[in-house]
Amino acid sequence: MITITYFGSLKSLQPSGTETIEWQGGTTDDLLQQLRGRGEDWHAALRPQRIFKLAINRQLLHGPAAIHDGDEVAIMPPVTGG
Amino acid sequence: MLTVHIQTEPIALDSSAGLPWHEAEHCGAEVRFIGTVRQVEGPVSLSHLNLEHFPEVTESEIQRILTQARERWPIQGARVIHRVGRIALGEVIVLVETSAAHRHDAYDANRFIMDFLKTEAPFWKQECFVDGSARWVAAREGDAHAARSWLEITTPSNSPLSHFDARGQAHMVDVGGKPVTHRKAVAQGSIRMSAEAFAVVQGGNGPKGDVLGVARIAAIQGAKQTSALIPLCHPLPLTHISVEFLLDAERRAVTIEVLAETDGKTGVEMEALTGASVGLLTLYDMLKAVDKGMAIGDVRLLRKEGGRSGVWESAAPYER
Repeated sequence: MITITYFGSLKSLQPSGTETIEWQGGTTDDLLQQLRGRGEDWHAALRPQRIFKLAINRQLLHGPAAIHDGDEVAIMPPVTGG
Repeated sequence: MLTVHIQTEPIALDSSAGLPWHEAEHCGAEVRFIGTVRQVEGPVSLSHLNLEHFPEVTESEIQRILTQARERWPIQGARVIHRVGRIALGEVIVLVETSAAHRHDAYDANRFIMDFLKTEAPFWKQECFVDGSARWVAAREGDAHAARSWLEITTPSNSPLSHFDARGQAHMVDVGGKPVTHRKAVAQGSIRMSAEAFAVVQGGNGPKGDVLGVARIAAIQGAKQTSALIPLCHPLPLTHISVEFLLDAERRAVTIEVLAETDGKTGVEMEALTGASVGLLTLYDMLKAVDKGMAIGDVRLLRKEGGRSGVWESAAPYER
């Protein structure tokens, strides 16, 4: 099982902002591929240019990384603070 | 000291009594940026913002931005306070304070921090309208451009090298706005040679003919070619070029002196220096059959006149 947290506009995909899914192992790319396959909305919202960064266990990633069972994955859209 | 606070409570702006967050005694300048919630264009009025962040990650990202600012500018301290949650119209969202010995560092570091905070720190704004509707704000390309522009600066904008622009790239300086004044420059250089070669110069006739006569023409031609040879030099309409030779029998040296003049917006020292250099190279070419070991040296500007800097004269003119 892994936990996925959605920030900002990505909450439109998952209004509670978080979900837990079964995980057989794989990378962040595998996870995004899987989520994009959920439908048109997901595919559009998770286009590469719509994603700012990913984090695993609150560590920002600078490239694809392996996700292990029990990890918390955060998916962030482009930021709009300040 | 670099500090980051993320809070849901309103940001108090009454901290004017002293500067408790840094070593105030070394700071001649403190810059404070305050970002507030403003009304948006559209049919429905904004009620408030709802700001989301990523606890722990947002704090450490801002800390990283502050550290980068301190590596880049000699700032004494920097503080960021950012609100999250519900923020009403007119309220303060963000406060960025920087302090330094001098104001330019405090200003620049403050802008840098704010530009990167907007594009790197995990915050997401939701606009909530009076009719109950809400929408997530889209990232602005202008913000990303502002942050990127800092990464392109390799030479400070106050660089003493005017041929580099604010982004460190070469350019021909814009002199369009400068007044036309009479410009004058004198440059000099020498070539030392064997007694045999010196005798040829004195005699007037070298293996290739009149040594000094040809070198004189070459210096004039060279001065006219300056803008074609020196990459960032402006093409100038020269009004006068004259070339003199000084023969020093004791040192067996020929010194060339080139005067260049123009009425223009930029100086003619490069023309005088280029003319002298080309004249010296031509002397070498004319005499190399007699002496291959001749040495060219001491090429320098003796005097320039005109423009904003007025008259400039070499500290040690002529012989050393």
